[in-house]
Amino acid sequence: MKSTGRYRLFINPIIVACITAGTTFSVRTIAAESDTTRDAQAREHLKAAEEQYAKGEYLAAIDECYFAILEKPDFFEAHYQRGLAYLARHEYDKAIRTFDRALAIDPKSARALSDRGFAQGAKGRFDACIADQEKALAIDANLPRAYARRGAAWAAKSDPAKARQDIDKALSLDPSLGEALCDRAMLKAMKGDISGAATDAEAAIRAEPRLARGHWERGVLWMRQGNGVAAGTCLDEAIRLDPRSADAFLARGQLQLAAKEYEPARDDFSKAIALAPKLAVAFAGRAEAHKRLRETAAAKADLEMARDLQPVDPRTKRRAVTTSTLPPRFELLSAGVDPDRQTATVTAARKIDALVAANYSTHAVEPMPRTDDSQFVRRIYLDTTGRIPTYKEVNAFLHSRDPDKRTKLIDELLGSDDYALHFFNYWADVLRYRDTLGRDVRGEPWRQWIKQSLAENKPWDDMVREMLTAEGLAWENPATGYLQRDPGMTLDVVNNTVRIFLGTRIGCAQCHNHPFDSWTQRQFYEAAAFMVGTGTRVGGGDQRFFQEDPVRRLRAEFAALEQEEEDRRQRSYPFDRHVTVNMMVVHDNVAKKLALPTAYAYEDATPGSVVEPKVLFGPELRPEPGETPRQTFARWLTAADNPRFALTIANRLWKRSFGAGQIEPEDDMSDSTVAENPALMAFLEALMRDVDFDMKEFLRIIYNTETYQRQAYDQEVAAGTPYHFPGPLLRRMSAEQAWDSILTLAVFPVEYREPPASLYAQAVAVDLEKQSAEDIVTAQQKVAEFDRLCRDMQKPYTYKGNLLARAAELPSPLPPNHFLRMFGQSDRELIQASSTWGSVPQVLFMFNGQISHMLLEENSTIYKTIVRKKTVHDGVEAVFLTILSREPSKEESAAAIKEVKADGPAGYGNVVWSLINTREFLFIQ
Amino acid sequence: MREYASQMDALSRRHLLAMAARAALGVGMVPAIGSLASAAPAVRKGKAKRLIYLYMAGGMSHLDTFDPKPGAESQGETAAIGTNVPGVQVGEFLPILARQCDRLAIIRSMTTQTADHEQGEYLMRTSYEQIATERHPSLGPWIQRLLGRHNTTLPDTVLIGASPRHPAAGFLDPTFSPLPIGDPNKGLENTTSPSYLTEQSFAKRMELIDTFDRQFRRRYPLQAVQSYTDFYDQATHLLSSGELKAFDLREEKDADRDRYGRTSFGQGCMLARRLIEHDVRCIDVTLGGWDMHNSLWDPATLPARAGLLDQAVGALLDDLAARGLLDETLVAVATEFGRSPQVNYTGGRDHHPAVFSAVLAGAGIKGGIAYGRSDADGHGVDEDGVDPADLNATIAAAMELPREEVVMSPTLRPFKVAHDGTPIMQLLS
Repeated sequence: MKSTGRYRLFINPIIVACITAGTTFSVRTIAAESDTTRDAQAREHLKAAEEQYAKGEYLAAIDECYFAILEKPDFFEAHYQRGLAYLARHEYDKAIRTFDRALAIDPKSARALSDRGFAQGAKGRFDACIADQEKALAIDANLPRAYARRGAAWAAKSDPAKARQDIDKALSLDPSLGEALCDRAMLKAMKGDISGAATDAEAAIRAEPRLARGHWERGVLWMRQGNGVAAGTCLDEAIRLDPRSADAFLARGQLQLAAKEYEPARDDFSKAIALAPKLAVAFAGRAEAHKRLRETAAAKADLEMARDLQPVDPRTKRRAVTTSTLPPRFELLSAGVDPDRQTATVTAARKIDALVAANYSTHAVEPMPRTDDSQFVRRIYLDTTGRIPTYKEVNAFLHSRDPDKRTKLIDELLGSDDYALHFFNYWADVLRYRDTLGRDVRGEPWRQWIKQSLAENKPWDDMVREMLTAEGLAWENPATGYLQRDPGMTLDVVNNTVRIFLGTRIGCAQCHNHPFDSWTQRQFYEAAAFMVGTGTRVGGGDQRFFQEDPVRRLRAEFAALEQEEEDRRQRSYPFDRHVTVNMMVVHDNVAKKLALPTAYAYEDATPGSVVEPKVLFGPELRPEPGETPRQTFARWLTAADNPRFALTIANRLWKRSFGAGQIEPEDDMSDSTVAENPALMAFLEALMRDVDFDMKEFLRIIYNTETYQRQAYDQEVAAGTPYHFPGPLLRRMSAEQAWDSILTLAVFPVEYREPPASLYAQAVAVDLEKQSAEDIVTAQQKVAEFDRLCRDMQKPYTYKGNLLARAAELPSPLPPNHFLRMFGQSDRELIQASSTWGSVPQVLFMFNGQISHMLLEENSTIYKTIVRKKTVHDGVEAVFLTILSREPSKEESAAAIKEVKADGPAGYGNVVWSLINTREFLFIQ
Repeated sequence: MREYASQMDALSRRHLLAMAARAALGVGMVPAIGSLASAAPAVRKGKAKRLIYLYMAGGMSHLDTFDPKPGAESQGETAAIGTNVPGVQVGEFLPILARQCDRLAIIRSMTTQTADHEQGEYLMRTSYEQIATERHPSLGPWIQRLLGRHNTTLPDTVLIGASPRHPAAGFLDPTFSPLPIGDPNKGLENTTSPSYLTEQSFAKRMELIDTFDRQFRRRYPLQAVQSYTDFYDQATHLLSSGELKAFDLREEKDADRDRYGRTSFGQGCMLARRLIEHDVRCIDVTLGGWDMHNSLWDPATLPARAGLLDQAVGALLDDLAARGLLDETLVAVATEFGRSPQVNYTGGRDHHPAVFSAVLAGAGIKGGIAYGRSDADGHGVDEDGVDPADLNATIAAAMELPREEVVMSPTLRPFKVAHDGTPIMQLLS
């Protein structure tokens, strides 16, 4: 073992054992060393690197260079030597980066320039190769390699005359330059001079016996000459010298194929593919081998790959077979409401109106008048789809003479994808959705599950039951996201669950009897006992999941993986995390019991004693055979006869529609809670059961009531006084409604959709019992590729750094200075932490933020609407209809026309900017 | 009991409505609930009127910064250097702070139980453990809640470079929300009008808004609508006021900006100083990148990170002192945990909550002290353990905050600033 330098160590068996055991250990340390010592150590590492390189141990050479660079960061020779080793390993991108660093230290190094050019050429960038060779030659006009490489680049650019001239020049300067001899051999072979080529290849082998390429060329030439045995010998030698040469494996595969040795042929092609994943001809070869071995499916897949990878034909600009290149998007499948229920819907709506009206007389309330069509169309779009209607949509509605147009529009909007996006924003706020759930588990699968459940109108009780009972990995069963949100926090989860779904706060009783309600600490623990056995992560030693601990095995395998030391150091933590993410499995241990706290202070139980699960209210519940306590709990919670489940969701949806609940606040009910209109609340609760927790149908009924269709209440409602619903309350748009509405003015339709989580699932999943450390490294790369794909997909939809996507498609939580956060979107830490309060930074955003200026750009939706109008009068009217969904008053029209006539297009800009800065724009009437 | 609760609810809701009308940057702001209740704001004699809270995210290695153990095996490559306080040494990568050690109170016996970044940071900033049902406020909003609003034109708390997970105002209402600044070089965003917009055309736009909005405002004479009208007035006022300059680092000389280091943290510290000069009460600057599991002594890792901490904080303390502001301003350096004495096989150090360091300096604090002790190899606490609540209680004591005052969250749970932590009396001046 070489000198370890200072704190670092090489991997040797003893250390592997230590790592495997999961231990870290201190190492001998040396007090601060002088620069001369560090210099000496760096040189020592370089010397070792050169030795390893000469032996063909390129990885070890790279590590030695890395150590040398750690000692002396600006050590040119170490960077350069490392670059050479990358070249030998065919890692051309890394080679280019390394030579870049070397050249930053010494820009006048002809060899570094020439070698970087070589790597560029190997990546197919022939002009860059030629440019680098010319720079090298400007510094050293007699550098044989530079001529040879420029010649090779010319050959690749189909200019054999120039190529031959350069290669001859190289050989005149150095007749034993293997690289140039190989190049000349290829040029000769291209012209059909096989024996001449063979002479050059043999000369190359004599001159540089360790040059794999010489053996490979000789082998290929032997194949052309029909001598399979000699070809085989040469190719074996080429592979021995360079086990990372895809070309050599490919050639040997073809040789085996010709010799009808299909299995070895298939294996050689596989190796070629592993080394060069885009080598179409290797896929074609393996397809043939598979076919001969009667592996039909594999043969078909390989053939398709081969076709896809075929280079684009420059004349037709088409591949032989085109495949879909559309960016993948998560598409919603939205269900509409049931047209056959129309009569029942209207009957229920009239019943609600009657109950509200009865209350008006009781409390002497004067109801608001019915909305006009402008007010209605804007409100129903905002409430159902989360955005204002477009100019076209407003006009279509205002001009329709259909007496049922309101009812029809309600049905249409409830069936649109926008419904799911809008209600996702609400539930994300309630459920505290974020993109990273506990311990690196990603939220996308759950997010898309919520959206799709809303879109397809999954009954609310089913949706809740699925979340509460889900088992497995987050990407296999996305409903587990609900429990993965708070791993290891059983008591908090129970508290939140009861609050969200049953509108009841038992949190106080977590620590002591509830001071204002009837809940005792014991009751809290009894409820929590249902969930205590639920875990979110399985251990490697858990025999229900693993026969032997995969973590130990995988760590040991990782430590032994052939990779650069620098990479090993940087990758070890991400590797462990990837393993852990694959162990984040929601599961139940039914034997686990919950004990009261040791400081339990009440008389009814002994501190620390075990509590049995018991429901909070309603009749006692017997577990069904085979049911886990969690399943029993979910069955109780979501039962139609649970006294608060239907009540809570009915009240929540009522509040969504009117701005105030029948019961306020919606998640703090107690035995003494009385609704504003008890008869109405009872009806709504029963209705929720009648429609089988169909949320779209419930909303459809509410939207069809006269009560909902009244104008927004125009008086102040004093705090603490009950609201009797003379109409909906005037509400400020939610942050998401404001953002989505501005987007509607700028880029309608908003095309961007998040990529499907199924792609993430395919990338991240590994079978810990069967797969190797190498597979996990591959999976990590695939996740990185998925992330790259997501970023690439966003680029065309980005305006000055802002992704122009519906709020429901944006990351969560957003940074605090994002428009949505400024306007009150939650940071997703607390239940319903969003707010609709104003602030000065909000106003500054509306004044000067990029988003408001986007509206004034020439290709914005509103701009395009205006330019089609022939007169200023029509243009101004269109602006008002687009932004406020109504026509301007005479006074407004006059002011706007005056402005446009005075300033021209800039005047339109001022009118648009001013209208989105009105309070009327931000509030929902 | 239940009636009492609903009364309290109604009371706080009425307050909230009043607050809603005047939120955020707070031009024309009335005093907050706390001082409303006590009618007249308490007379404050304490030295620390303002706080600069510098947070080292990721877990700053104590052994390589403020708690070196020369000669111990765990010390690794970092040498200890002497300071201007006899007998106190710091890591070699802090040469500037070493010369200002007489201003520093170094706490070497910080300790917590959590080795998780997020939970550790939350605990450090709030004194409470992170739970899924409550969100506790961080120090700036706590101060505003307890002492009332301080600055009449600028926000009371500014966060520079904070993560989106910063607990910020916690359960307090949005009027206590700190103002986040992402990039100190950009300052307060959205305050520059596009170049084509002249002052005249801006005025014209404001007139148009007024014309277009008149009908709506007449129809809905509600507080929520009126409050927006107030915000528009305040924003217009702010844009024309000189106070915006507080956020503009271009007002500083290049040479001065260089002294802090042209990094996000360096410039953040300079912005903190400017805001202190404009009487902003609390500025919180985050420096990330301390999670050094690999190659800790690579020049780009610890030496670089400690170097920019050293340069920025050194310049900050010097500038505050030169302006006489260090006598009114408390500066704290905190982190979620330390790093392991054992060097791992990738040449880094892992999470280590058992013992780590924090630093206080400036108003209300005695300088030139190293308080508490870690054991011989920096593994555990040897003497005078200090947990996050104690550190925050010390800050609260230096600022003379009412540590016993109970503030109810909207879920009616009682909380106190610093969570009943014990202040370190030896450090208070």
